Parts: sequence; structure tokens; C-alpha cells
Amino acid sequence: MNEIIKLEKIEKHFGNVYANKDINLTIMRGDVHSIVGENGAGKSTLMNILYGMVSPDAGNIYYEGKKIEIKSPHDAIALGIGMVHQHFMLVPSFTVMENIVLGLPPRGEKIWRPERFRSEITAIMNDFGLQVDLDTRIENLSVGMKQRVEILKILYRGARVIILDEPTAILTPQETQELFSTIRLLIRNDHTVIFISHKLREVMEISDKISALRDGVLIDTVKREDVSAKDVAYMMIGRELEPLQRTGMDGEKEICLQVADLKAGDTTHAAIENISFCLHKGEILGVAGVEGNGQSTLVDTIVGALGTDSGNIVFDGEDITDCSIGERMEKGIGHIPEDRMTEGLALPLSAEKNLILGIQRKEPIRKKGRINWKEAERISEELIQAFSVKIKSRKESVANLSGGNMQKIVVARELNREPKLVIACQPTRGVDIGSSKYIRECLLEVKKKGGSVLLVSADLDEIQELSDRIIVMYDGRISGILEAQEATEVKLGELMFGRG
Amino acid sequence: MTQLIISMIRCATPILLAALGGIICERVGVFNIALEGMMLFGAFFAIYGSYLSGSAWVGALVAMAVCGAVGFIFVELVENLGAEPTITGIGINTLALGMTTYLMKMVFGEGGSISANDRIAGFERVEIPLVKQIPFLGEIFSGYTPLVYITFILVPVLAFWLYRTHMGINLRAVGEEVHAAQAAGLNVNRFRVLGVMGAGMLCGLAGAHLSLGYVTLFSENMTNGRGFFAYVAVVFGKADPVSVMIAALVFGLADTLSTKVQGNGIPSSLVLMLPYVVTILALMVRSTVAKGEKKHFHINLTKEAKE
Amino acid sequence: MKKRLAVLLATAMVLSMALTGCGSGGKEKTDAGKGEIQGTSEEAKAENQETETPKESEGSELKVAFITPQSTGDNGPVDDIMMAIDKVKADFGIEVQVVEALDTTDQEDAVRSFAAENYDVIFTLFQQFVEPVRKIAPEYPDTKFVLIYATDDFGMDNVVAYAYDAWETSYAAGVLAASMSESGILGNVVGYEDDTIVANSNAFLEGAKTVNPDATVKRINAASFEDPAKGKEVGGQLIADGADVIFTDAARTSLGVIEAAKEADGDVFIIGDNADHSALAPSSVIGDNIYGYGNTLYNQISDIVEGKFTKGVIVCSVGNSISVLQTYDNFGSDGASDELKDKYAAAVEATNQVIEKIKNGEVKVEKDTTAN
Repeated sequence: MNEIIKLEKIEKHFGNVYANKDINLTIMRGDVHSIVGENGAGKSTLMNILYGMVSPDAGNIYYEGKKIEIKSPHDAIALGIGMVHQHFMLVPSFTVMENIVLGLPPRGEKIWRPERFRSEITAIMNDFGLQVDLDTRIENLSVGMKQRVEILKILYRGARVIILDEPTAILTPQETQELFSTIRLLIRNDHTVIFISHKLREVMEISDKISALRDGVLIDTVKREDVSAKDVAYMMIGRELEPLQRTGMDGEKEICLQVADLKAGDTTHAAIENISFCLHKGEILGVAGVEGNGQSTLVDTIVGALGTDSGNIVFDGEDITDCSIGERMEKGIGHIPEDRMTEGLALPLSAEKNLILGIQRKEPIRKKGRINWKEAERISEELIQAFSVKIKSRKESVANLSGGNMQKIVVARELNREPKLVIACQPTRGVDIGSSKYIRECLLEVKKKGGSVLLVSADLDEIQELSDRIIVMYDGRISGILEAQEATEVKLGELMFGRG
Repeated sequence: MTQLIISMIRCATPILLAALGGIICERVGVFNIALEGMMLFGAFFAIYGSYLSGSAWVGALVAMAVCGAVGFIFVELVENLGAEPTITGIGINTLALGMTTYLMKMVFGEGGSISANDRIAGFERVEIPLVKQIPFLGEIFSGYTPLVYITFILVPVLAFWLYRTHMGINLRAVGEEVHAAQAAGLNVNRFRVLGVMGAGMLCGLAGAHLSLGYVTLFSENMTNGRGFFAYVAVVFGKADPVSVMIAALVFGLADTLSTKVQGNGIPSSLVLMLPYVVTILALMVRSTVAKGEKKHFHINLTKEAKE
Repeated sequence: MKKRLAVLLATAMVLSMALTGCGSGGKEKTDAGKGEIQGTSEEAKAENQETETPKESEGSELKVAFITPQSTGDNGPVDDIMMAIDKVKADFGIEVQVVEALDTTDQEDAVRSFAAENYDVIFTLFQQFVEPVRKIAPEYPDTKFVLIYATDDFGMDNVVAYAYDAWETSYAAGVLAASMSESGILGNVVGYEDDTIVANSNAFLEGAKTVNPDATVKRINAASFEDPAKGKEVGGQLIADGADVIFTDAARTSLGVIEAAKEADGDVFIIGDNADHSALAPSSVIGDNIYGYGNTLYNQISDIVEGKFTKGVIVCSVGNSISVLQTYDNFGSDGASDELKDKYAAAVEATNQVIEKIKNGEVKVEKDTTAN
């Protein structure tokens, strides 16, 4: 084993914020080297520097001992460094083959003859177990398949070092396992993999080495066998993380929400059909599934943003199928929307205004038809305190906050209304570990107080960690309802693909 | 019937030629409503080039060169200096109207039009020797000015280039998914600059066809909205050369019918709406079809502030 | 960078608008004139109210302005007037200020500015100016307002409107056309359809029928006064339908019709509108229907120079020799057969006789606005 990449004193700052500071990192040939860290720790910047998409302010990069300069992805590819981005860089209407060959030097030929490449690509597919139909258009592929295409693409370009940026975030457990076997094949074939993630379990499973970044600084690089998951977590967030305290369900099983034979969908919402389930008081019901299988449609019909075609929704003993969003809020439904930027917050407004949204027309905020700013101040200060939102002042625009703090504002606002039912969609997506834990605790708190939570999440760990029961959705239908105890990863994965 | 078809082809040609330019812009992902202005520049400089040289072909080359330059200015403003494309496009259109009128008065000392100048050579009609003798087809296929043939030859050429050459595939990637193109190591900026310049040249050719092929004169604002119809044709044809050709022919037909049907007891004002009605219908059909095609699966990962 | 760019763009747009708006060439000093007048309008108005300067209206001292709502070089009304303006300068030594006020908002300003500058006579063209003049004329009793192409009688001492019975000359054009036509199928290309244009078209057919009772007129609305390509298409279409004389009422669109006639296989003739088109195609253009906008301006100025001014509405017609059907002595100068020239001479002769009859009242042309 010898070193393939060495980063020396890499520094990069945006404005007066350091994204990377004095980073020294050595990657050994044939390793799976994980880079872990919370959002904003500087992982992506570091990788973008390595891939030539960002130029460092200072520092040197060595490849196989030679000092090099990587000015563009082009240079990186030429060196044999390839990167699979979190957001796929594929052209949807092109076929797999076209995407793989895109941008390659035409080898003296001007006419496009994809057949020339077929055998070479097929060989790589066979070598690494990356089977995919070369003539399918990208837009018709599943997420996991798209990721394969990305990997094929960089392998075909001769990549020896492969950077995977949060590759498992959008995969089902099965797909993740397939990816891991690909990674193992890559290593066996003398490739090097840089694996970026914040999912500790996966990092512990696949890595040889682990480097943790925090606030732009490289904390440490360790061998996997020398550490525990807890140690890595400590490296990432700089403090101990207590496990969540879960409570079981209370004996009584009063129904909070009853959905019967729901059918809905329009041009922007995937169709759902035959949806029936009930949610009890004091229960957290998880909704799992690969994204785009109708979860958003379901949520929108329950919160009232989308009308139903048939079926009805009963909340707290009352049919609310035809109620408006406002009426449903009034009756006690809280909603933590999937996208905090567009749906959850009024970005340019201050934290204070965002925190009183929804209650501004009620006592005590409303006073003689006007807003009582004293009261607004009291409530918002209280919430900022209680949720420990990191913010300069309540007057600061929420647009300046980090993802985690933004999400805390949304959660604080929704929970402050003390809803009987909280519909939480991807509540911790893109949120740092500390804040994620806090938000999850809040949801458990709701449950403890006798409220109900409908938790829609693509993060299976989160679902398993919090839910009492789990609904799995596939292709607009419920493919299974499981008790928490019986919901193993394998079982869930099968249901997510409509099997089982 | 033959007259109708011939007239349709003639009316469609300037729209189609400019639309072919529009296709390239669309394919490299640059929103360009300056087709109209570029065409008007082309119409003037074709006349000017022909006036100076006595050759229609030189006129067309001058038009292409000037419009290529206009395209360059446009794309530099939009891509590299961050100008708003709609406003820049409108700016170019307004500039074209003002500048061509002004230049006309400066160079030719005439008012709203230049015509019947012995030094201006227009394109001669081409009679294709053998085809001409075929009864029905001969009439339809023979007797146009050369740029009409060039336009319709350009349709398959452009289609082949876009779908079957390396360069075309790369170009489409740039327009469709710029990040993918970047990640594949393509020089996006170069594609855009060259693409829009090429589009400008085609618009220049369209203008040359108007002022030297269709008629042999220049008059103020003589494009009269054809560039906008070209843009609609691009949208309607989803930037696919053959579909855009069909769209342009539909507009040509509507245009022809709008005058042909007149005088049969139908008020002209009603018939004259035809091209516009067709346009709106076309856009409606297009958007309905597009909606149906839309995938129900879309992953909208929250875009976190990337550090 | 962005800011600089915005400035650049704005400059370009303003520049181009200025070019479109005031691009009537150097000789009329339009650009300078307009700016100056608008800039000082308020002060000038105040001045005017304080000191009632006695009016001098002799010869070259006369201050005359002409405001046009469409740009010069239209091969139509405005160019006709521009020619008359040149003639006025040659004959009376009077310089006429010309301003293009293409936007409705500019039009009232322009009228007011000239009035405030103590202009003696302000000419305006087309209907757009009726309301501005109605409003402004009472404030400036010493300024004379001449509305070209309007039918409203304001009853004011300083306003006169000129109306045009253009169907009279159109009738004569019908005679000329039918005399030249072999097929009896006549074409009529118009840029727009309003009462006057439809009346012209109908009169054209009436006139043609006096020569050939079977004559028909096919009218096509090209829906634009500035699309020569469309004009050529429409002209070609009429020719394909058998028309061999085409009468146009379409300004620049007519240029395309003339080209279509020139390129036609057989003899196809054109009667154009409001400008001399004979130079474009000496063997095709057999006449031009001149409403007489230029004559109006010339006659009016010459009247004022002589100290005459009639208020109210003056109807221009063949009768008072303002509207004319212009024919050309040098027809066919680019190589038409003598036979054809003779035929033309005879046709012109017949037409002139009809014009005489209209003048002396023997023939009366009705304004028929029924659209077919």
C-alpha cells in the first residue's frame, strides 16, 4: 500500500468564513477512506477542491507523490480522479450510453457511433457488477440505477480514485448494500474510494480509514478497527451524543386520525389510491418508501393542500375531508413541511415574524386588530431559547441561518401551537446531528404528551428509531403496515420495492 | 392547391430559417427572443452588402457576419456579464429597429425603404432542370430563390448534427443539463457563445432571404414579427428541427390562408386572426402534451446552502 | 459589473429609441428642434401669456411646424408632405419644422410645445391629433391649427380640418385599371380596412364597371402597412388568380406588390398610393392615387402668406384639384412596346375625361362603405 493522494495545508475561505483550514490528509491506494462531518463541516468543499471545481486559497495537492494542480474537473479526470455528486450529473433525455460517453474526446471521429463504445462499457459493467441497460433513457431509471451510471461514467473515463458524495442518502437499504458490494469490487480491482457520509453505521461498515472534519478543520484520521461509532460521533460533533429515550405506547388506543380509502393525485402529485390507515393518540406512525411513491401526495391531502378524488379523512372524530388548510390548522394539525426553504419559512422575514406566523391573528399576539409586538417578542424569544436556535437576534432574517437552525424555527413554530397531530416530513433532512437529535426528541415529546405524529422520512434509521408502527408506500399504495418490532431493514426494503 | 403549397413554403421559409437559429439557442440553453432583431439586422446588411458588391451572395455573407457579431454581443452580455436575457433580447430588437432605420437614412439617404436600386442584386430564382418537368412536383419544388432550398436542406443537416455527431450531442447536453455537461468536462461557455453566434448567422441568413430573396428591397421593420413567430415555432417544435419545420409550415399555411380565404364573404379581420389563433392553439396543445408527459416521480432534495 | 452593464443596455435602448423616433435625417433639424421645444415649453407658455406679441405673418417670418405620427420615408402620406415642404421652402423661403411624434403621449406635447413657441401655423396628420388640438387650440388663438385628414368642425377661428373624398380618385383609378386590364379581374391590396379604404375599394370597382361591366375587384387586407414581403406574397396571389391590374392602399407593403408585378410573366400593372412609384417599375406602375396631403400643406401655406385663412372643414376632392390620380408621361421608359404605350395613352385619356366629369358634377361618386 502506498499513498495516492496527499493534501497538504489546504485552505479555502468564502468571505471571512473558513470552509477548510490547514487540512492535511493522505489517502492510501486501495483504501475506502471515509470523510465524515456535519453539514457545513467542509467535506464538500474539500472534495470539490480535489475534483477541481473549487480552487484552494493555499496548500498543495500531490498525486502519487507528484505535486499537481487541478484546475478543472477535466484535469481531475485526466489524473484518474472521478466524483459521483450528490445531485446526479446526468442528462435525463439521453440514454445511459450517451451519458457515459458524453464529453469524451471523439477519437478523431465526428460522427456519433455509440456502438464503438459498447463492448468497452460492457466489460466494465461485468467487472464491477454494475449491470444497467445501456439503451434506456436516464429519466426512466431508478435512483440507484442512476448512481450506477455515474459510477460507470467515471470508471469508463479511467478513474482510479472515486469520490462518492453522500451516496447512500437517497438509496434504499438494498440499494445501499449493492453499492457497498460495488465498492468492495472496486477496491479489489485496485481502485481507491473516498466515501463521504454522515451516517455512522455505514461509515463503520465500509471504511478502512475515517477522517472527521468539524468547522473546516480536520480533527483526526483514524483506522476503522481502532474506533467505535461513538468515537467517530465524538470526532464529528465534539461532544457525546446520548441515545434517544424512547417510550412505548400507552395502553389506551384512542384514534386521532383515520384515513379511509383515499384516492388523490394531479399533474404535480403522484397518484395515490386505496390508502387506509389510522393513527392513534400518543403514537408515532412512520411513513417509509422511496421518494416519489405518493408520500407527498398523502401529506398534502391530509394538510389540505390537495383535494381528494374519493375517500375521507377523519381527524379527532370529525370529517375534515373538505376543510381548508386554515380550518385544519385551527382544529389542531401542525405541519413540518418537506422543504423548509420554500414551504416552511418566509425566508426574507425575521425569525420573530416566522415564529408568530399562523398565530398572528389570535390572542395574545393580536390585540385590537393589530399585532402586539411586545407579545411577539416574548413568544419568539422564548422559543429561540427553548429550541436553542443559534441566531444573533430575533430580528435577523431566517435566510441567514444554517439548515439546522432554520428547521428548528419551523419545528418551534409548529409545536408552539400545541397541535394534536404533527405531520413531520423529512424533519431532519440536511440538519446536523445535534439539531437532528433535538428535533427527534421534540417529536417524542409530542407523543409523550398524548399527541400524534405522522413521520414521513426517507431516512430509514429515523423511521425505525421513532416510529411505533410503520407504513410503507410503493407506487401510490400502501404495500405494508408493520409494528416497529417486526420492521427489519430487509423487510422494509422489500416492501419499499413492492415485494413481500 | 399547388399555389397554396408554394405560397406556404415561401411564407414559412424566413420563419423556419430564423427558427433553426432559435433551435441552437434553445439547445445550448440560452433564452433568445432577439431573433427578430437579428433578422432585421440581417435584412439590412444583406442589402448593404449587395449594394457594395453587386452580389447577393456577398450580401448574405455580410448579413451572416454582422448577425454573428450581434449574437456574440448578446451571448456575452447574457452569459458572461449576467444581463437579464429577456431585457437584453428586447434591447437588441429595439436597437435593430432604430439602427437599421438610421443606417438606411445615412447610407442611402432614403426614408423608410430602399428599393429599385440598380446596384442591389437580389437572388435569382432557381429552376431545377429535370424536376421542373414533373407535372405537380415540378411546380412545387422548382422556382424558388436559393435560400429556400438551403433552408430546407439545413433541416436534416441540423437534425443530423444535433443527434448524430459528437459535437451535437455535447451541445444538447449543455442545454439540457448544464451541470452534467460541466461535470463531463465540456466547456459550457464556449458552446453557448459559438451556438448563439451560429444562431445569429442563421438569423442573418433569414434576414438576407427576406430582403434579397423574398423581395429585393429593405424597408423599416420589414421583418414584421417573423422573428417572434420563429421563436414560437421553436417552442412548439420543442427545438427538434423536423418538428420546428412542421410548426413553421403550419404558420406559413395559416399566413397564406389568412389572405387566400379573404373575399369569400368572410370578414378579413376574422381571417387575419388565423396565424395568431394557430399560435395560441399550438402553444396550448404543446403545454397539454408536455403535462401528460411529465414524470410523476420527482425528487426534490432540499438544496442546502452548500457551505 | 452588472450595474455598468445595466447602464450600457439602457443607453443602447434609449439611443435606439431616439433613432427610431426622430430619425428623419439631418436636413429638418428634427432632433435638436424637438428637444429644445419640449425643454422650454413651460417657460415659453408663461412668457406668451405675459407679453402679447403682435403677429407678423409676412413671408419668411412665418413659423410653421408639421407634426407626423408616422415616420418619414413611408412612400406614402408623409413623404408626399415632405416633398411639399421642400417646395414650400423653394417657393416661399419658409422652413417647416418637422417632428415625428410616434407615441400618443408625445403627440399632445408636440402640439403644445409648438403653440407655446408662438408658431404661426401647426400642421398635423391623421386623426390622432383631433383631441389634442381641440384642447390646445383655444389657449393659443394666434396660432393656426391645420388638421390634415380629419372631418371635425370645431367652430374655432384658428382651426381648419381637411377631409379627403379619396373615393373620387379611386373611381378614376377604376377607369384607368379597367382600361388597361385584359382579364377584367382587378386586385386591391390594402394595409387596413376602415371606411375610407373600403369606400375607395368600392368606388374603384364602380369606376371599372363603367369601362367593363364584367370587371371584378378582389380585395386583400395584408394587415400591415410595412410588410413588403407580405405585399409580394399577396400580389403574387392576386396575379395567380388572374388579376392584371392591382390598386394598392398599403404604404410600404405596396413595394412588395410592385415587385410581384415586375416579376410576373405577363403584363401586370399597379396603381399605387400617395407617392410617386413610377421610378420603381416604369412599365408596371400606371398611376398613383394621391389623396393630396402635400398639396394641402402647400396650398394652405400659400393662402396664409396671402393673408387668407378659412376655418371649418375643407373637403379635398378632384373638384378642388387637391386629390389627384397621378399618371405618368414616361410610362414604359424601360422598354415597353409602343403598342402598350399607346394603349396606356388612350387609357389615361379616358380617365382624364372621367375626372373632368367628376369635376363638373356630371359623374357623382358616392361614399359606399359596405364591406363585402
